[in-house]
Amino acid sequence: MVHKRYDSWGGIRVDDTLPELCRLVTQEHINRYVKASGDQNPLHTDPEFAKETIYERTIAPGLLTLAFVSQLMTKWSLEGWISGGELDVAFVGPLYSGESVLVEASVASIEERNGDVVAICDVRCAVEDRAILVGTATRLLDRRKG
Amino acid sequence: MPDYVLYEDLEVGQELPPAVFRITDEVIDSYTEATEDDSPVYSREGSTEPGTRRLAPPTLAAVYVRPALMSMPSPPGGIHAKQRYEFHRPVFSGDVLVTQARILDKYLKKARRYVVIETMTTNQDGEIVTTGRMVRIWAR
Repeated sequence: MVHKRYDSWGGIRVDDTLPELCRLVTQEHINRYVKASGDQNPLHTDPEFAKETIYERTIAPGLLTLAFVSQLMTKWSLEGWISGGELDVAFVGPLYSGESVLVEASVASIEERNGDVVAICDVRCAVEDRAILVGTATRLLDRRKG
Repeated sequence: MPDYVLYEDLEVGQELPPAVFRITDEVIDSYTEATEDDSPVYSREGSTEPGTRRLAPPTLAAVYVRPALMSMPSPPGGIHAKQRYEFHRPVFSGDVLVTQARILDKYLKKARRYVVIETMTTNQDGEIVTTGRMVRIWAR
């Protein structure tokens, strides 16, 4: 199915870069997140357990990194994010405790979908050159139906 | 008997028992503090206008969906490979959400055990607030 595409919509243009976000993730942050979310995987909190895995150290839950992507989208557009927003990501590498992750996004396309107009952003979270998360975050720009 | 479900025992198409989760200010506080979310719109002060309710961050789904997965706890050491969320409607403090999860698929790839789970969360008015699809690598 071919979607109608636009170069810009309401001042937003394809290739626009969103303000980036950087977060230092310490073991204390991970512990707090695990407690808040109910995640009981010892890979995130138990150094002895993690030592026996391919990661060798504790890693942050992927959904913690995903929360940072949502924060970036919230700062860009609350209305088009909380109602009509979408995330579609892959966790491609571990985020170790003590590392700083940079969250970046840019507008990859503006198109009509099911009658709505949306901006689809490429998102990437990385520690220096090492990718942690890649995918898309979609924001609703204009609701045409309902 | 282990307190988790092995890959070989997961059945594609299986629906898990629906789980109820009540969104409270404390739940939102705990999540925004843990994720260092400083967006004023999700703070207690962000909903002081009369007639407004406190908004929850969309990715709070990570918290309110989890109880729906507790009937098939994964063995320790598994990891999250992919996640898709569609945020259909906002979630507010005071909402009572029900999440239904279903095992959509499972497959082996490069000697890893992948499990695909889809979720649908509705609010107290029966409206769909969030749908999700996660891919997890099962440890055993």
